[in-house]
Amino acid sequence: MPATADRVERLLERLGRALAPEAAPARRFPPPRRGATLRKHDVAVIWLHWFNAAVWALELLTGGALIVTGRYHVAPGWFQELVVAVFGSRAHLLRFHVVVGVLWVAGMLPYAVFGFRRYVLGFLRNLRLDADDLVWLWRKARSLVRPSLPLPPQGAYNAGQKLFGWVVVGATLVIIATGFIMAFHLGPQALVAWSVPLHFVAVAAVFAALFVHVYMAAFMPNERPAFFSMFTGKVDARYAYHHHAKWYHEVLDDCLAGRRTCDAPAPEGPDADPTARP
Amino acid sequence: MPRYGMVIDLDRCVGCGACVLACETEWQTPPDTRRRDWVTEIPAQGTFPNVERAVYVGLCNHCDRPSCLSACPTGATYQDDAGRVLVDEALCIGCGYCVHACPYHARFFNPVKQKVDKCTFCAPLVDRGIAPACTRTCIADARIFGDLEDPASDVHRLAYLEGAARLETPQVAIGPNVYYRGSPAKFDLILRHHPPDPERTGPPPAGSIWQRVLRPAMFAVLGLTFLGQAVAFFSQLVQGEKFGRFEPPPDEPDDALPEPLPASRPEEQDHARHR
Repeated sequence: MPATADRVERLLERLGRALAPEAAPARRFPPPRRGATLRKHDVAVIWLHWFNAAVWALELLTGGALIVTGRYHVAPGWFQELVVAVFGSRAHLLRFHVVVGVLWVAGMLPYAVFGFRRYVLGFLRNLRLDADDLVWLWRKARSLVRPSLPLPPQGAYNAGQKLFGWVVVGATLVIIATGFIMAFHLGPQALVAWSVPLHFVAVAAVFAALFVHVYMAAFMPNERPAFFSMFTGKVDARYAYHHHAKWYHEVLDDCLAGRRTCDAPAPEGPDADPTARP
Repeated sequence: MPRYGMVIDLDRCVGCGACVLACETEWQTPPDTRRRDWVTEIPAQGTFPNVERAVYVGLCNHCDRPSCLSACPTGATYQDDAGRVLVDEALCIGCGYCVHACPYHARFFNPVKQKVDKCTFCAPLVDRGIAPACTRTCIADARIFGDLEDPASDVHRLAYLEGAARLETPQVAIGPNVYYRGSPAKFDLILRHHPPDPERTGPPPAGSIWQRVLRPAMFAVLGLTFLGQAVAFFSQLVQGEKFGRFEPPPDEPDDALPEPLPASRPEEQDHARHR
């Protein structure tokens, strides 16, 4: 049995190399000092994340109450009545859903236009699955029965986060396209007819992944540093060294080579930069 | 509350189509689209002298159990207290599910409003005490409109006491409230040529696949992920927060200082010192 598992692993490794050719390995750096941090998220990204979270909360709430017919409804009747009572009427509710959706697109548009290289291409580059990622996924699944299996090093996002990222990217595009088609009746009627279930499925896919995302971030003790990084922008360097080893080395390498501006606070402080020497 | 209905007298109708024109004018339905009501001639059938012809006068039947109602995802289609099946245009997104779900083909997509359009039994007029446009204009009084619940009304008498018929088949019996009276041969001709369409009692494939496949699949996936997170959280509660906690490996000193690193660029170090 382990022989088969290993064979699958080698196959995944080969597939991964075909997907993303191995970049030149960064220099190896020692583990960071305790308390050192690395900057992970721009302020713009933190804002985008919480803007996105707020929009999702509002749109899930109102969208769930908009599908009223017995054939398709997802939320119970009392919930629909509650939300409609808050908004006054279903017509107001629908208008609110559409307006928030349009504002959502308007809020993301500057990132896509002015920050295309940094926030679109940069983000997509971080989502590329490589050989380490495919092996990571396979070993993660196997570790349910063999918890001692070592996991390959991970980049800025681990393979699970990358899969979540692809679901979100794909679903976001589908949600925006179908949302505009439905709200403004763009295209022939068959397109509008199919937009309804497509909108629903894309939302459902993200919603299912959102359970995992929120649990991992807000409840899982060993993901605390990642959770707080979405407020401070900084992540514990020791956590990064162990959970995102490839990213840790890449960041330090970039800092030293001047490809990335790095926080370099006083070495004695709690934010000690691992690249700075005491 | 009243329960509005209409009786069409097949013996009186001459097929002039004035009612269709009156409806188009009253409700400004765009030309070259389907209409809110229609007059379709069925050519003479049989051999002389046993020949029969009929005119199919149709409109929304404002059915007792409308199949269009449950096809609408947003609840734009509704049935009011007087039994009229109406479309709330503020909620209609024009997906056309209801159009597919009407076995009488009584609904259409209005390209000007970009909403679904249909006969309302002239609800805005009737509520002000004015008869529907089609009945007011009919030269032969072949359309009789009124309250089916009112024993004094003509429609009550014709529909319930004089046996006017509903355009129904054993496959599609959803309680239409437009009744037909007159020669049974004419009615049979209409029923043979324009029976309610048994293929059109539900939403189109987009809606039925959503209902039968996508919606249950979504509940299954959501349920599974929720269950997974619940199990993880409960084991966190049972085991205390050791579960999956980040701990550096034992051979890594707790206060590890970095090994000497390759010197970074001098100007960067200056920058760092000055901050």
